[in-house]
Amino acid sequence: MKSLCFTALILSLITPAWTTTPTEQFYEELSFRNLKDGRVATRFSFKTVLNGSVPRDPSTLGQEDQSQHYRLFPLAMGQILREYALTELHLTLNAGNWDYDRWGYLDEPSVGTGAELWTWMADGAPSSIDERWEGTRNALGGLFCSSLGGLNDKRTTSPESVFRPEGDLPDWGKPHRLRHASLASENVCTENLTPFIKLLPCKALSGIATLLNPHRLFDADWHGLGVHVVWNEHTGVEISLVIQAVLNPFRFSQEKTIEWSFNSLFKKQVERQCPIASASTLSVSFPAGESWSLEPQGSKSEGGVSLYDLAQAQYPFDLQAKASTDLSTSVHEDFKPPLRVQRALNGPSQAYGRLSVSFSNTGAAPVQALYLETMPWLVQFYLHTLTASANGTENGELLSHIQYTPAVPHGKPATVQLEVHVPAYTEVLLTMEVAKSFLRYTDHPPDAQRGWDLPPAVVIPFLVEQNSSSNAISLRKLPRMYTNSLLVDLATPDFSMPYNVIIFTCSLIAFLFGSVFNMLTRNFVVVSLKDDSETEKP
Amino acid sequence: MSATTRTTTTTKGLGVSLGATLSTITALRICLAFTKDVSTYLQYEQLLSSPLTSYTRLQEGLFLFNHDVDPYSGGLFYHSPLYLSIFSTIIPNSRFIASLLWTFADALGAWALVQIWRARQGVSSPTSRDSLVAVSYLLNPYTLLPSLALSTSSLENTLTLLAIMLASQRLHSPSLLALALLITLNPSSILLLAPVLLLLAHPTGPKSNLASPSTGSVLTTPLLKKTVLPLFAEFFAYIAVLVGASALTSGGWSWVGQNVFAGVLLPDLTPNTGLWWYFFTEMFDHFRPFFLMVFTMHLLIYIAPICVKFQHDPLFATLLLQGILGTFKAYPTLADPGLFIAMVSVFPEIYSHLRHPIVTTLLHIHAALLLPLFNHLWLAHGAGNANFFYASTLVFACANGAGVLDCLWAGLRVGIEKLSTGEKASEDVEEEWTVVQE
Amino acid sequence: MPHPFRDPGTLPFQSTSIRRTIIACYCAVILAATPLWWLTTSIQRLPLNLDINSLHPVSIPVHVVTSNAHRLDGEFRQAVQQSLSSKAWKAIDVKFFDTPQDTLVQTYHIRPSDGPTYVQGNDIFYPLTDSSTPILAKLLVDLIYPFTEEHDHRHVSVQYAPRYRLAFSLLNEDAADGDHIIDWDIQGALAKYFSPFLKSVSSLHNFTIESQVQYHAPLSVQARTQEDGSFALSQEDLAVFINSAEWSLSSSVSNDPVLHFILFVPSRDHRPLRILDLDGKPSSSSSFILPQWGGVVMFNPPETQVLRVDDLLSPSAAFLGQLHSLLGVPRSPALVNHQPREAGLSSWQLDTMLRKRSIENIRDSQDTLRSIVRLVNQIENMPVGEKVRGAVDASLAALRQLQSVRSTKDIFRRSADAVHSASSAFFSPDMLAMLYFPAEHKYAVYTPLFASGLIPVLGAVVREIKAWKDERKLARAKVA
Repeated sequence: MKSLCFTALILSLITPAWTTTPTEQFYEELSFRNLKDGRVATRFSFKTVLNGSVPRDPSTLGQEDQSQHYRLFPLAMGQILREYALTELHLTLNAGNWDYDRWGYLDEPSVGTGAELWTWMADGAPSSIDERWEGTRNALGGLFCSSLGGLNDKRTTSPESVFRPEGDLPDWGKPHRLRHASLASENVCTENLTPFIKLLPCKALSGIATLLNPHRLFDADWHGLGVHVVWNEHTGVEISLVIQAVLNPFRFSQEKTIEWSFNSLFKKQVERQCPIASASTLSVSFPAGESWSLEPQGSKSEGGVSLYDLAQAQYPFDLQAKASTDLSTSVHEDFKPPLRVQRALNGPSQAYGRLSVSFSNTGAAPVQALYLETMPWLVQFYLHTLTASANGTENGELLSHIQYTPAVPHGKPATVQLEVHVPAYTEVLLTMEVAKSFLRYTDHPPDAQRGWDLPPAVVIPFLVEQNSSSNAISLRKLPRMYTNSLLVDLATPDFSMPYNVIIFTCSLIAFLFGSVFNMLTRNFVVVSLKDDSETEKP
Repeated sequence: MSATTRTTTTTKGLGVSLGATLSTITALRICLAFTKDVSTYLQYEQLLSSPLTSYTRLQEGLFLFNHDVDPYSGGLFYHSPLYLSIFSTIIPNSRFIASLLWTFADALGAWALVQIWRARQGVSSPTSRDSLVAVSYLLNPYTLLPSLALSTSSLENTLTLLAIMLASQRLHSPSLLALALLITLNPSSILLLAPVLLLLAHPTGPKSNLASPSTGSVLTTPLLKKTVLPLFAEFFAYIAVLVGASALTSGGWSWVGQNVFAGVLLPDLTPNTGLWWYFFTEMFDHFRPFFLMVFTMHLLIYIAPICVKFQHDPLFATLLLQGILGTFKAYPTLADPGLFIAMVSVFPEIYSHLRHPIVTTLLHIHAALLLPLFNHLWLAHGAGNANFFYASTLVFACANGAGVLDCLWAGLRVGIEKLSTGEKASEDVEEEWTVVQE
Repeated sequence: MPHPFRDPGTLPFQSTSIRRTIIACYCAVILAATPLWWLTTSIQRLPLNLDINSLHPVSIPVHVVTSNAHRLDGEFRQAVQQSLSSKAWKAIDVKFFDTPQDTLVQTYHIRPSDGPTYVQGNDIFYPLTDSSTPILAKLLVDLIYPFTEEHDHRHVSVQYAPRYRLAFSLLNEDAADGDHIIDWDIQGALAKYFSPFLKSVSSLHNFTIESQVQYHAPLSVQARTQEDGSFALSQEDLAVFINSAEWSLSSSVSNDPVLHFILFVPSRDHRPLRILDLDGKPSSSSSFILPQWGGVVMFNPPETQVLRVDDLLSPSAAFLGQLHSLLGVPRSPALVNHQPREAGLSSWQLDTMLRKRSIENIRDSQDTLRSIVRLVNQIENMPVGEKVRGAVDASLAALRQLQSVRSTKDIFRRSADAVHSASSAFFSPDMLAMLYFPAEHKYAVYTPLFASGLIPVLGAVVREIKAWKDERKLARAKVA
């Protein structure tokens, strides 16, 4: 079966390109979604599909690989994927706090602050999964100019029930394993965007990528870059490069309105069409009840979304959204998550604190939330102090299925996974006492007084739906949510003091040691205080 | 040279019987523990409980143990597995029971101290000084506060006092069993093994021989072979059984790395009243193993010389080694120097020969006021620096060191007693002479 | 007047034996701790059993079998040897024989020819009528070592590596303006034009091949407009032709060196694009090589969107020539018209490349080993672990084995092993000067505790020894 796939791959790549089935396809898609508070959520999605290809079998990692010949697929990513035999890869670099209340869900659920990398890899290679994970991190860090090498063992966990594979996993007889790491203090800036754009077939010179203006993009209220590689059994290896941002048109407009256009948002327009894209689409939608008009007008889909085919459009292409009087414009369903989760670290002391997480259910249906917390060893949990209270009264029934892996100092993080049952119209508050570690002199980073960023927690809400006819309870799984990241302030020693401390402590110890030694080894002698008598020798 | 000298005549008593003292103070303590729930305020105090003795960490370990997670797989739990077995099987795990337990353990420790005092005097009936001795342990803030904070160092103090009491009463096996239990729970108490063995093997036992050190060397080979070695073998057997029980409880040997080697490898750098934490916070990684070795060796280097020098009075050697332990231990709390201060009350014969008691007391008051203040300023207020607290620990170490040195000098000086008549010579004759060490 | 105290001398705990026992206890613990000090602070510095003087130059043997018909005398042989030693640093040892001696050693035969001079395989056919031996000498030298100093000075060829990545890129300057190349049959071209050469050189190097197509590759220089409407780039423009900032060419995954081959298709507005030679006139060649990096071919395409294998003939020929230069394949000497039997390398080319790489590898590995020894001796705090020592030993073993092997292929393989082990030892990650503690800092760390703590102990020991000596003297005086 494997050899058939490979021969099919070779044959398909050698086949001249003028046959009817191209082997690589590139789709680009731009979507704008006006949010209720006037902001615009944009999403640039660039997807390349390698038809008929299969990820590399890890057992072939010691041997020579087949040649890689790509037309649209980025060669740098292809090299990394095959070098470490990765089946699925998700990397996101985000900045800003995602506000689920005002902005709802995003198309890509990974909105946690900082860098998040998780891969599914199969076992069976000559090198271990952790070695390949380390190689992947370093290679991606080099490719995207970000310090992903910092996602080392101190940040890596394996929460396999929360981060399920989003594509298919090939069957090679060995199990696939997850490696997940998150670094909340990673900053995103232009030096990450530039290599990202270099991976696109049309770069930033044609197609929708011309709108990517770093000045405006990194000025957004929230922005994130994402690389997602999945494998689908029917299509092949797909890589999606996604840029999402929440822009505020009010700040960028001259007349101080929330009307926007490409020029006002990005200071650019789409100059030319990307000649190699199989499909180049644009979609715009507005919240229900608001009246907008779009120029040029697009075709309507049944969801109320305006669609444009940029292959057919007039170039240079600029879209303008203006307020209008008729309510007939495109609407989208405002999909808000049923839960609001907030996390905080309370307590003034640098020796201990309290972690409190509140789940607010403002809807009429009860929600079962799967809560995953991965805490680096800097903050240690006192799990016996975990209490849950609903609307102020303590109730032990609200928590179930607690799984806990303690943190190892200077090693792997703690993993707590539990299920919280949040009834309708209730706020459930979880509190737990935590101990803050005292680090060695060499463990502290250069900016030690800033504190340490703690990675966001992941919540997967399940809507509890009661089937009225059969009285069966079914759980509908919703996309995962991320809480905010926290900043923990750890006690720092005085960094100018190493030799001083050595001298003080050693002098005191030496003094006491010497005094005890002298007392134990010297002899008593009776001495006369008078001047004229002699000393009496023992 | 007189035989044992009775020194009680010049000491003062409280005029109250021991039983009355113990019961009143115990009752007061229980009321205090329950009216204000003091332990919840004090449980996080770094002066009162170290990572090896903290009640919160014990609770966490018990919780994980009861839920089938290995408590030693993380970095939070350093207690001995025997605590896990005791609190999950014998003693129910509630704060109410724990406060009662700690209070009674304190009372037991005070009673044991009084028994040691009586054995030293050679009497079995109450003396006038009994309640003073009991009060010096019960109302000593250094031992009272850790006990209120439910720090297991109070339980270890009680065990220490029990072991010494049983050794003073020449009960070999119970004493060795108590000592083995103590060392399994708190491995740094190994310093007290040698003086307790000597105490058991000594011909006159705990009786005060400071004023009249016997002639000849007691540590002769026949004594060693005949008495000390069998005792050591019995002790070793007890240790082996307890270590086996610990391994059985915790289901493996991972507890050895956390419990036994915590005092040697210093995995947790939480501030405490000792000298180790800041030294190893600031130490370079290259020298870290070397200095850990040096500090451990430094603790062990005192055992043999002190036991050899005070072989005529092993109880005094116990006092000195407890003082050393309180000053130089890896994870001390206030309870360790507190035990030393309480035990000084058993040796009133040295009081007149102390050279600088006022300096020691003032240093202790100085440190006792500054330690909690600077700890609070540094960690809770953010107004201070780690150096403030470090400086106050240096003062505390000076205070403890001054106490040990003074007791050591006084213990030796008592031997240069007046001549046999027992009368005090006239004042002018005394002023002509002074005793120094060359 | 007697003092009212007891005589301190009668105190049992003040007896000499007790005092000496106590001092002995202290000293015993301190002595027991000394090996632990060594254990906890020592840096693992395994000795490298490497004597720099034992690295003497290695020479590669070559045999030449002359026929009696040519009557080649000592003058001829001397001329050959002198010429070779000046070219190849005395690394090639030529011996002349009448009959073939050793089948393993590389042997060239000089045979009489009835026609022109030509080379076939390892045989040189030289006409008997021509008695000018200098020409034959030059021919022989050129066959054995055709590389000149000038050739090496330009450093076009890359350093030796056992595996190269060949990255073929089709760069469209601007695809959005239309008339761009969508696809190219690079795999067919590789199979047809490159694989014979790659196979024939496979005993020297392995290759990983990859290719990509870029649709936007803007130039960093402005093409100059010529009078006839075409565009051209001057020689200075070529130096900055590679726009690494905008073109994604680099490989970040493995350590193998990459040779880039770029087929550049200018945009519709910039066609046709030519290269100007040094005089400013459009040159006929449309390709150029970047030393040690790769090569570029400017391709002004015909009216087609896809390049087939036949369209890729001339770019592939140019690429192949560039690959030859980059790998150091020698050109045939002037006097030779050899008849290549297979497309690819002829055997004498392969042999000369093997010899050249062997000489370079041996020199490099010896240099690296000398540098390692110097570095380890200079920085005293640098740890030398098991891996580094193992690699140095492996490199030395490979160099030693060179004495015993004779065939060119074996020599080459040993030399490749030697240079690989030497560089893995030199670039080992733990060969970094670690937290480097100068001596003063060490004193600052050790002195507070040990100087002030051990002084009373040392003083007491000295005093006791003096007292013991005095006692013995007294006892001897008493006995006497």
